[in-house]
Amino acid sequence: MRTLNGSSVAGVCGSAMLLFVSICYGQQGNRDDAAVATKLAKEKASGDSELDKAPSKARARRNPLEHDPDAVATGKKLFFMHCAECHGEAAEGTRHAPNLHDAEVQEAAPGAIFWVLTNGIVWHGMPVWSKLPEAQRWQLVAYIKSLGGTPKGPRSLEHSADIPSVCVAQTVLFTLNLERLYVAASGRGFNVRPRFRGR
Amino acid sequence: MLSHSFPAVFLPVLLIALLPRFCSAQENPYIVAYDHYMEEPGSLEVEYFSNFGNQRAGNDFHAFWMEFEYGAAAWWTTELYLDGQTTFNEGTLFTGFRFENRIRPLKHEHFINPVLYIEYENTSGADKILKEIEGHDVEADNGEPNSLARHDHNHELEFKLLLSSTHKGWNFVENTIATKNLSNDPWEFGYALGASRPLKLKATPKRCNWCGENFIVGAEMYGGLGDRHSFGLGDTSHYLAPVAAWNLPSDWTLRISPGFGLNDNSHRFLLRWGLSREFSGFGDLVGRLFGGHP
Repeated sequence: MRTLNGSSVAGVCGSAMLLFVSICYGQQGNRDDAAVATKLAKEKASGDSELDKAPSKARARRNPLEHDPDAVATGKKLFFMHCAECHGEAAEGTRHAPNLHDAEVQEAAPGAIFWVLTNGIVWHGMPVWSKLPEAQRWQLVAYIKSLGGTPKGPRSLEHSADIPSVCVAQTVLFTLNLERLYVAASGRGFNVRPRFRGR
Repeated sequence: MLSHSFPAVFLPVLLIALLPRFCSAQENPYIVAYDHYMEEPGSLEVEYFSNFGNQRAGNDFHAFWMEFEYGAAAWWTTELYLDGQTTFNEGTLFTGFRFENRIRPLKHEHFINPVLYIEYENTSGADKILKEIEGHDVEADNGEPNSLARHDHNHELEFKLLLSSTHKGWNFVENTIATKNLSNDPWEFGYALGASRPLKLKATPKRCNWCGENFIVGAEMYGGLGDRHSFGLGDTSHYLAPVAAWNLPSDWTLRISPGFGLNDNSHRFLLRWGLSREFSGFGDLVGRLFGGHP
């Protein structure tokens, strides 16, 4: 018979809390959209956007699949699988990621889009997509370039939450709820020694 | 008793039931080694892994663990593990938990991409998931009966330098491990190497289960490198394991890896397999559940 002592339970809960705090942190990063939007606007005005940061050698690369009749359809499938969650199903942009119909994207060289896909924009939340093989990244570029411009704008970037206090409150609530769930399941509190029986 | 494991069992089920969105990820096939790719920000990947081990001078075992991997940021992934094992003819134990963090220090992709890894482990001596081999870990360590091994407790800090390169569809990884048991034990060292590649690099336009791009195959090799007082290959164990991952369009990933011991100190055979599913928008969901803003 194996017993799981209180310190282990506390450890698991502590880890869960840390996990939760990291979620709050992630949300804070995602919700700091106003600042990000301002920064992006400034970058755009100064010609210093991520697309503009692509080295000239990368920007000069042509899409080897630009004449592939399946490239756009395949890129669309890949977009739904990997990108739509943040950029929106119609690539219209969300509070997490920009509208890909924007002139800035549509007028960019395919090589520059490929470069951003490969390198991500790690400090602003866009992951690195070099884990997709190069051919699939070019298929994505073909789809993105096929989108064209539309008047649709991104969803509102506004938010009103006081993030640090919400995070603290959420963490406390999470811990309390965890204990309630445990008490409901076992009929006891954390101060007992739960047992995991061997066979 | 089952009711006592309620939080561990019920919470993941509840979360999976509540999560409204999912997304398909291109998961690597490694089970022991790590590449440099982080979890997508706001996504939670729930994973179950199994490790069947063949044991000389002892009972065979089936160790298992759950992983909850969350992308806190594009440069930071955090993960909680819950470990357990069944040793045949002996019993089933919960063997502890691990909490790990991976941090990507560089902004852009490079030829070699480093990631810093730190993990805290609170496990019993009966833990047999063999997620990493370090120091002088040998097969005989796992032959000890559960009734004795469960009384040993390990509080360890583990550091890894993960190096990873992707070139022409191939991914190569090299992990260096340094572990400090928070007692008076010396630093222990280990390594893991891996290489993998999708069967097909170009995707097909239709959703399909059996397309080549859904399969990633490769191999990993891992083992111990002794400790601070006796660094080297003496009294260490090493494994070579083919690996394969099947990324299904239904958003599940299956992994399988038969591992073969490379010397007499190693288990002759380890069979690992795993099942995982990624849920995007988890961070937003938690925010909504606890009164945050959608």
